[in-house]
Amino acid sequence: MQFLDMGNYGFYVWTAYGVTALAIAIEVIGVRLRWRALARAAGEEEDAP
Amino acid sequence: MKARHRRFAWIGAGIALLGVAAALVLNAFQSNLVFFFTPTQVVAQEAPQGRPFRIGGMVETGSLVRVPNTVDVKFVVTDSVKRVPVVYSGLLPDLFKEGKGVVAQGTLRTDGTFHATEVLAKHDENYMPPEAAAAMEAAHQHKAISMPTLKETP
Amino acid sequence: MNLYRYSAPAAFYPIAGVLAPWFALAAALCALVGLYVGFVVAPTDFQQGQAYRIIFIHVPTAWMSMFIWLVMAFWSVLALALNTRLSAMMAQALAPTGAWMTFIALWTGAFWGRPTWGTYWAWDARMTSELILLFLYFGVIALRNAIDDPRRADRACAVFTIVGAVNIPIIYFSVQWWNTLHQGASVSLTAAPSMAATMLVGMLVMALAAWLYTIAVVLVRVRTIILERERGAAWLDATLATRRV
Repeated sequence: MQFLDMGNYGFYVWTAYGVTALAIAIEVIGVRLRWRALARAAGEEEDAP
Repeated sequence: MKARHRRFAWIGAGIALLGVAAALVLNAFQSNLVFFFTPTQVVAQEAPQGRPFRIGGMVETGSLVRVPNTVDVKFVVTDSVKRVPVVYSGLLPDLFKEGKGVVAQGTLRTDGTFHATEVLAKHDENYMPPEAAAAMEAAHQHKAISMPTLKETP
Repeated sequence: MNLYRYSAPAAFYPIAGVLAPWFALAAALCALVGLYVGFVVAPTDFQQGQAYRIIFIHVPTAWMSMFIWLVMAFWSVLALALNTRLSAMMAQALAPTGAWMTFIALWTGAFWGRPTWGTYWAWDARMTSELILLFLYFGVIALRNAIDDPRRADRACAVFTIVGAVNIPIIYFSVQWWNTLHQGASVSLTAAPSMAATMLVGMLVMALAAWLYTIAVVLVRVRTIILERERGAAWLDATLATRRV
């Protein structure tokens, strides 16, 4: 609990780290999903004819 | 060849733009984004007259006075050349300390006191554990005591 | 070795696919080590207490935000001078990560400034020029989307990126050139770092993690850009048919 408290600066420290983690998660998941969708689309195009 | 020439023309135009952008940005910063004025500048009347500006420097050691039962404080901002007394009514940031950096926004009255509406603490770029800071402080004071004796010996 | 061989999107696509997971793994390991050093090993700070621990993400992301633009400018110069497609694709792939890094640097800076300086935001030169950098990233992404022809977009974005690079030295030297609320650099090439050793180690390991993360994400993004722009090309169909990459 003393660790989470961060000497009364817990709110600031954990908001900074939390938003950073969120930003990284959004970027990683976003780029992965986009790649997967495009790779699948490119693969299907090839199967079509 | 023509396409190549045109490309170089674009690059040339880009570089010219770069120069203009740099000049504009630098000019804008120089004239509008001076974040604070030092006490020396304030005393020399280089700070803007009649409108709010920021003053920055060190909180002079021993100058901080808290008015009892209120949030009113008085302190002196110094750059070790000139001093400007500041009055402020409000909560001070955690890092506000005597001997440390401060930036205050407000107006300069005709009596030479600065009436602050906002006080920010400006800390330096040194990071160390408290024990190390205490050790350095002790070493510094030791040096300060021994310095005059060193000077006196020819 | 012929470097030109790897500068073709066809050759780079599978290489990027093989490298990306390794960079991602290395980034994750570095981040774990960096956070351990930063939160467990490194002591509290003499003037800022525990609030200074935001430095372990603020400084690495702020460095990356500036460095990514310089790398984009490097690829842009190559794209204009040699007219290579992959260089422009690399610059394009870097921009969103640069924008995220700038956003994180500004956000963590705000939540560091409030407990230490006493304000989330001030219009001082360092913060204003970093905010301009965020707008420049938005600008180059918008410019890309505004031009339909990819080759013309490449050239326009390359010129924009090279011109915008003028902001980077302004950000970096702002704390020396003007009176700012933001403190000076703790770590620079010209002076000994003004930080305790364990704090410095934690910050540098996190900086390494930010580098590795950027490489991993950009490699995956450059693959999506290749898929978008080379759609229908014979090599792409062949690559996708022969291997699951």
